[in-house]
Amino acid sequence: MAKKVQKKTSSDVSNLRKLKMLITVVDRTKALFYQDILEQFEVNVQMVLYGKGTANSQMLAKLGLIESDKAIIISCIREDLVKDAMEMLNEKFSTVKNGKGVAYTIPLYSLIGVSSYQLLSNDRTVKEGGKK
Amino acid sequence: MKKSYKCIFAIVNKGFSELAMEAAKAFGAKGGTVLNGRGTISKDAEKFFNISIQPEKEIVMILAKNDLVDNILKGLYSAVGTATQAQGIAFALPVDEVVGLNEKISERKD
Repeated sequence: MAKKVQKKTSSDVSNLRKLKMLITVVDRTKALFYQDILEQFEVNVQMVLYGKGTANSQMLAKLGLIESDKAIIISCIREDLVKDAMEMLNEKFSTVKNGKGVAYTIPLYSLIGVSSYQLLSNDRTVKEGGKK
Repeated sequence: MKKSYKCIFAIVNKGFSELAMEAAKAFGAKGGTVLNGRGTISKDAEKFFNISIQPEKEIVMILAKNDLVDNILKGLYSAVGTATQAQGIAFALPVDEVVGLNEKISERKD
């Protein structure tokens, strides 16, 4: 009996929309700007870390960057929203003054806790076992 | 959008991020980002391996093409690996989509 329940649960979970970790590296002064943009894509949880870029000054000049102080925005985003978010970021990177940066996604393979999933995916309809 | 990149994380003792970056650049890395952090290790592990862990750490994050990753990791291991003063560990994570990289500028530098 227990085996049956487990089987059903795992297949339900595989139907869930997957999450990805989105890492955005931008100038420190633009961190808030990009956080606001990412919020448009149902990103509920974001963490900002401060760091420094390591590109040399010649390289920075070529890229049009002056400061090496960086903000690393770590966000959790639903897989189906990644494409639109990346397109938006790409557009902003090339159009916003001093707004250049890099963004990339890393797949997340596992997560525990229904409420954690609800928060990270911005989907409150999901119940235990991956059912809606 | 490209799918041929990996993200390398190198966690080294404070003050060794430049050395790590130099080692990575020697194997084709274009640039990276340095974060500050604090390491933790259990007292038992410290005794068992006869090592002392300096809590102040620097995390070097490097986005690199797939074909360069193995060599960069080897370079990091020999320059800032666990056998060195940097006591570094390095690993790579898969990356799905990337935006914002200016490949033309990178190539021009070569």
